[in-house]
Amino acid sequence: MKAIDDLLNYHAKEGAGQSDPFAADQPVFGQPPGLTDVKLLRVLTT
Amino acid sequence: MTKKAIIYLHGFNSASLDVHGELLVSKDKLQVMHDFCTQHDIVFFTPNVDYRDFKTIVEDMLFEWNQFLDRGYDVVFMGSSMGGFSSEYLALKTGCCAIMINPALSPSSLLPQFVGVEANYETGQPYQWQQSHCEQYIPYEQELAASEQSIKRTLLLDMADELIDAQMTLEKYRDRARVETFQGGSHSFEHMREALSMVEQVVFLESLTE
Repeated sequence: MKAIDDLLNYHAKEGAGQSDPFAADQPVFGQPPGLTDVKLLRVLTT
Repeated sequence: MTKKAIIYLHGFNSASLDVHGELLVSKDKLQVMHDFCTQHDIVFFTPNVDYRDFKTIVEDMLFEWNQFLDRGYDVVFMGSSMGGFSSEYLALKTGCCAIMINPALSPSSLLPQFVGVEANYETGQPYQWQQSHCEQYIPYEQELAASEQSIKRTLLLDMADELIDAQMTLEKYRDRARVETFQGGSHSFEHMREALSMVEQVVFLESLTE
């Protein structure tokens, strides 16, 4: 469960929340913010 | 006003997006939610997920939750059937609100009847559902059952759900969730329009108290 714990603690880490991982405006649906093409492909094909 | 996002998870062996990544607008509740979110400037994030690997779903959704938080969004988890179960679990882990539509109460008990399913109902993509996939849910169910943490749940129930006994769901959650029931309907939920005022309350009022 380490990955889940890391994700839950992400905002407790120094510097978290100050980055801007979004290069474009938010879509209403479809490709989510920050999701890479590779990851999106996996989501859509499983 | 804080920006709002809904992470919506579809049900077992279903989909929210077609093979081209477009919203399945043939599903009435998705169309209704899409229109509602557009109207209220809410990001409606509804990926396709694979219930054969729940741990990955949780990790992916927590990743997205972090991304939304980075951008200053309030997030509500919402889902239908297995998506309802997932929303409850994600709300437990994050403290966000959960909107659960005809939720699966015990996936490890509910899903064995689908062992042998070979294709996704919505996309037609080849698919194998096995007993081991059902059993992976046991520790998550146990974690939810054992938790004394308060979860901000809102349930939307069609009382004529043919797959999950809505009366049993009502009894289970009566004292620990806000429950809105609708006479008739089905497991796919046929009262999304009628439920929008409740969704609006959760997104714009309850999430402010997080």
